[in-house]
Amino acid sequence: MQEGRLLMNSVEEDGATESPRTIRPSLMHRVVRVPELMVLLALLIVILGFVILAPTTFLSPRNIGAILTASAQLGVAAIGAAILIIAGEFDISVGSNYAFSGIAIGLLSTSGGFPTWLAVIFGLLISTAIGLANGGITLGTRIPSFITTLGTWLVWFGLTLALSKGYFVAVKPNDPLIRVIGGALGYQFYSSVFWWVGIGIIAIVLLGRTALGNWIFAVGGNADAARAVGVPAGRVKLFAFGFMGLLAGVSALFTLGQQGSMAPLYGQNLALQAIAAAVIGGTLLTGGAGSVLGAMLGAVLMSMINSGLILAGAPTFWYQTFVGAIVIIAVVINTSISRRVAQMK
Amino acid sequence: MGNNPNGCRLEVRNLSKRFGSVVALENVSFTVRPGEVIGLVGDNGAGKSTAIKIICGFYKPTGGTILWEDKAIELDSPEHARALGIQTVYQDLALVNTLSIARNFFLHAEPTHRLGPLRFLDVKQMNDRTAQILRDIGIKDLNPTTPVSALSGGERQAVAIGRTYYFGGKLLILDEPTSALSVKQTQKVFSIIEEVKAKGVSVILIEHNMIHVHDIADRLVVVRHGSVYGDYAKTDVSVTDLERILAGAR
Repeated sequence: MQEGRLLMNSVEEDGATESPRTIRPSLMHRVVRVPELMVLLALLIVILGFVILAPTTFLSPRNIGAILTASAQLGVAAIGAAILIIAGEFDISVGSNYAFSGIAIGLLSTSGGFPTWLAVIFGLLISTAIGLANGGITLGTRIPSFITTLGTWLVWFGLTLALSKGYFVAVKPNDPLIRVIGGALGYQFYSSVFWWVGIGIIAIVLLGRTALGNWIFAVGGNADAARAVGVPAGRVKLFAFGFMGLLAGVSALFTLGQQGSMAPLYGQNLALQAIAAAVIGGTLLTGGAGSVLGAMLGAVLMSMINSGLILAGAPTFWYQTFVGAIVIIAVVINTSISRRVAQMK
Repeated sequence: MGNNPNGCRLEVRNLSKRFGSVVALENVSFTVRPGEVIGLVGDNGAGKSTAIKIICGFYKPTGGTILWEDKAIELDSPEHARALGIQTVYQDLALVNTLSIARNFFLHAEPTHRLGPLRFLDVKQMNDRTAQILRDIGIKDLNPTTPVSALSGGERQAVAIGRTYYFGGKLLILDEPTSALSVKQTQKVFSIIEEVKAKGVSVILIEHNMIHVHDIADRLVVVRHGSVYGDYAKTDVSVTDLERILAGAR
């Protein structure tokens, strides 16, 4: 047919052969259905390992508080990353967005003279707008988001440096609102943990129990099929970009609550760590499948490894190596899953 | 369904389509009655896809008329065609593999409870209704929560066809639904086509395999060089005849 099939652009258009197969769900389909399985298993192993290596300190209330607080800061970005990856897109610029919006909130509330609540609202609007801009550029140019946000990562980073002139920017000390968002509650436990869990629950419901959530999975799994039944694929993806941006701003608020300040160089690893947490939590890099809960547990796992290595007396640079290895293992498992899913077309 | 005077669901009269100086279709006419399966056959480039894209609302014809249930219509968009009940099942585009059957079935038509700006899924209703529809069209052994990736190719086609029927499809356009399927899977798809046909749904089937298309179609419309070369009742033409006609068209 010289015109080609209607709207068809699948790489597997021809030659897909059918192999005999039973309908009984295989282990793979169980993993697709319970994507958190892998990270739960990993958490169990890591907890056991560090309890043996650092028996008195690892499960102390202080350390659990510290792990959860670190998890909240990474994990809130991981929620956004998971949803965006499920929708079939990436945002590499999250770290720059995080630093930019944190510095914007600091400047607005101090030298800008705005009340803190207004500075916080502006800051979150800015971070959401940056996310939407990433999405708009990606969808408008039809360039893969991995590339467009690699570009915007540097753009926002440059703007961050320009805005801060390279210095730390602090919020007002002991500001009540900032304390509510991310203040210390004792035992290294910060209020950000509650916000993180709350946002996580909202995101889980949004993804699993709303029509929009269904569309997010669909545009990531097969955007053409979703469009063919009328799903506004572009707007759904734009939402995911905007939500990612919003959560980058929330993560910045957590840092402001914890430390009282933001530096332009903060967060440069945040995007990749958030993607790592999402992938460890069972989100397929190819889109269409994944879990917010898994991403949150992935963030806990990464924070746990960081803290456990310190307590076990290992030099902290092993953290990166460890997380890197886990990401590779997770991706290998996930890709073998998605490859087999693809083969089953 | 189908109580209109001359009994046509779709009629195209003297349909033409030019792309610049290239004539893709010239005076193509045929009819589709309720509950009728039309096999649209022809060599690559004969104009089958152009005709289909016009009927689906993707292309506007350069000339000719489309009658839908005996009323002349102009299709503005694929959405317009879909709203009338002209539904296309694409081979690879039909379903999202990573989602369950029920979530695919109700994609963009999810039963929901509205709460503020959010529409919460009625998951139970989605699963129950999907199970009911699957039984209705003769697929008994599938659980609605099964991910589509776990289905065979034939089951996927069956689910996709069942969905278009359920959402008011009166004319299903199937673009090579069996091209990647085994004999057994093909039989499964054909049995679903028989099911929806019995419910009064019309089908236009594009198919390269003459044995398959002759098996399932009531009438065969042969397109050649952008025009209708012949319009045969199944009983008037054999598979060998069809193959000879197509070979002669090269």
